[in-house]
Amino acid sequence: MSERRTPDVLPGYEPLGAAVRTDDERWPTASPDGRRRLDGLRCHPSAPVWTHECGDLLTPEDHAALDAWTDGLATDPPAGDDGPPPAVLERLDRLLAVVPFYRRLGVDRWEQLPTISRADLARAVADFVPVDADLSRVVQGTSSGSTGSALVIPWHPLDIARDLPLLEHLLSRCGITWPRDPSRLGLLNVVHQEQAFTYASTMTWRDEQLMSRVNLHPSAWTDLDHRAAFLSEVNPQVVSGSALTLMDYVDLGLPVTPLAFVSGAVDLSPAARSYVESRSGTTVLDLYGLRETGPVAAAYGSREGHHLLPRTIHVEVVDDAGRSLADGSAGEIVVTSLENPYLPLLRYRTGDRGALTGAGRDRRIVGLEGRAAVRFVTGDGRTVQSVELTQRLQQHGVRAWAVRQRADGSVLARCLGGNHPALREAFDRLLQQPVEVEPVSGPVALGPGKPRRFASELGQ
Amino acid sequence: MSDPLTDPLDHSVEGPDLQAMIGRLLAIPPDFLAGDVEAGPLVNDAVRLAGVRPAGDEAVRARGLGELALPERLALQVGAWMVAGPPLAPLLRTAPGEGRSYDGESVASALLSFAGLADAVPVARWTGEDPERHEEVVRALCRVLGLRPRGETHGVAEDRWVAVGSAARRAALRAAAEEQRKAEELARRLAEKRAQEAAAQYTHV
Repeated sequence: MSERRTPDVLPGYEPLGAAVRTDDERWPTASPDGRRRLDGLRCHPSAPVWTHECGDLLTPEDHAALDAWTDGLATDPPAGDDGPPPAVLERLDRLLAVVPFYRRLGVDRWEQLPTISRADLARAVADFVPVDADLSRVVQGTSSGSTGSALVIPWHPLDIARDLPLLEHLLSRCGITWPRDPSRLGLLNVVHQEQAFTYASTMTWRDEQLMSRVNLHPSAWTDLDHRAAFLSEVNPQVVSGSALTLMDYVDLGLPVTPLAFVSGAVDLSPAARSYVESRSGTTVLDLYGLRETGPVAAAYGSREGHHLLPRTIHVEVVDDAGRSLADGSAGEIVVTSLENPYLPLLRYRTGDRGALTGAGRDRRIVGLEGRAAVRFVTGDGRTVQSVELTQRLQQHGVRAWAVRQRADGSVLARCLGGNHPALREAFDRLLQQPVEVEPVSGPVALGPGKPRRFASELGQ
Repeated sequence: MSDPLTDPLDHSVEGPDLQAMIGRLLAIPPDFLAGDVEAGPLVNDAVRLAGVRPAGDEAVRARGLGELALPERLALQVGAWMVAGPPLAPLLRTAPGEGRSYDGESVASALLSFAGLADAVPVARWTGEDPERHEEVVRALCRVLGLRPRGETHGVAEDRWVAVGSAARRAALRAAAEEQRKAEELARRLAEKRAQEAAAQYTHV
């Protein structure tokens, strides 16, 4: 039996290191009964080792705003297929005046807008924050992204909470009702990695139904038997996670079944969807979006592609020079998203590829690619998701990479920049496989495609 | 240290004709206004074309020209176009007199200062319809190089700089200062533990 490894604590993952608010601040609208039920979840005898505490931060005014936003989901005009929708254009003049980047650029029409990229945000995210925004409620959103170090973006609690009415809306389109059943965990946000934030919270907007973020990794539980016991007892209605984690979740063979799975973060391949749906008998909704833009499109049902979401967004597909392409032509997906008041983004290059098709409510991205996730096999036969390698690549300053596991298990990491000896040591510890780190002179040396790539010849 | 774009100049050397420089500005090729150009190599190329001793690649890198945001990169590219040909290039090459001479370092440094004009005059207006903006851009470039337009005394050039777009420039610089304060507030708030605690999340986008 292999010796249990001591995990190297990644920056930002110190248990409870960032939990500083009081419960009153975390759930400003929670009732005494809601608090009691939350405490029950926090102190559940089979609960995982919680590593973080956070709430929804929603005020009564936020609840009202969410209600109004929810109404708009049903009544908003369909996403335009002929230029940006009125909801975007109506706000353009103000944004061009109050967003520093555009004030300095001096553009005054949609047609003059350049595309922007993650590199622009990394250079100075404040360039894209409206100068008249009240920053008193800002919280951190982090994005591992496709290159460079993790990007910290300013995020608003209301924008985060919009996921709930959005999910209700999308599930209803799939014919699934998501009742606010206090006897079940309303939503389980699930990850599977060596280190992750986990917490219990209450969704005050959903009548104080409980939710939690849980890590399936054995290191997250004092007793591994607790994992199945806890998940079975809380009986989650909706389980949200990456495709690989959802596959791990159904492999647990729990005696309870959620109403729906929500996949995100990485590609949900047809095989992965089929695996999860056939093992669970439950629908999988696949959300496409980036932390920077919020949710953009969703795949559900039998219709091909990801339907554009009824948010204040506009999606284009462009060529390398940033010129919009006609429907049906594949290119880079560019998203305008104005939902986050702290980071309204105009023509943001996602680095992902696809083509647009359809009109009105049928407008979709087809052939979406760019979020491939890969599992690596460790020397002692376990698997780790590529997100764990991303954390270490970013921790050690690598700006772009192509990491491949060969058929013999050895790993070649071709890296632009960064501390290679430290990275090799971190990969050695994580993978327990022979690791070779090869420097490259520029992103071009990594070949075409996204400058962050993982591959495995082990068929994982 | 004084900023030639916001502070009076103590001294200037007579340079090229104003209209000739405006003509050069308006003849800028579209390539120089493209956002995907790498500013560092372009500035080095421009300095070489100007015929002055080029700055080393290391020096250009050290100045972080490639790290600039798009408005400043575009501004830098306009400046590079201006110094790469007549009427400025011959002057920079031969030294305008009064003990002033240029090398790659000083031209690159001047161009970096010039890029700061984007704070005060939005870059899209530099080559737009307004003749006063053209004059403002050209005078700004002269100032960062320690020059004044041909035929003007130092005092006239200073007065004209104040007159050209002065009110709009002051308002824009106030806006830039407010943006800087906001950027500092954002950095401070994002670094606070309260922001790091974040909020419960429901999906993985």
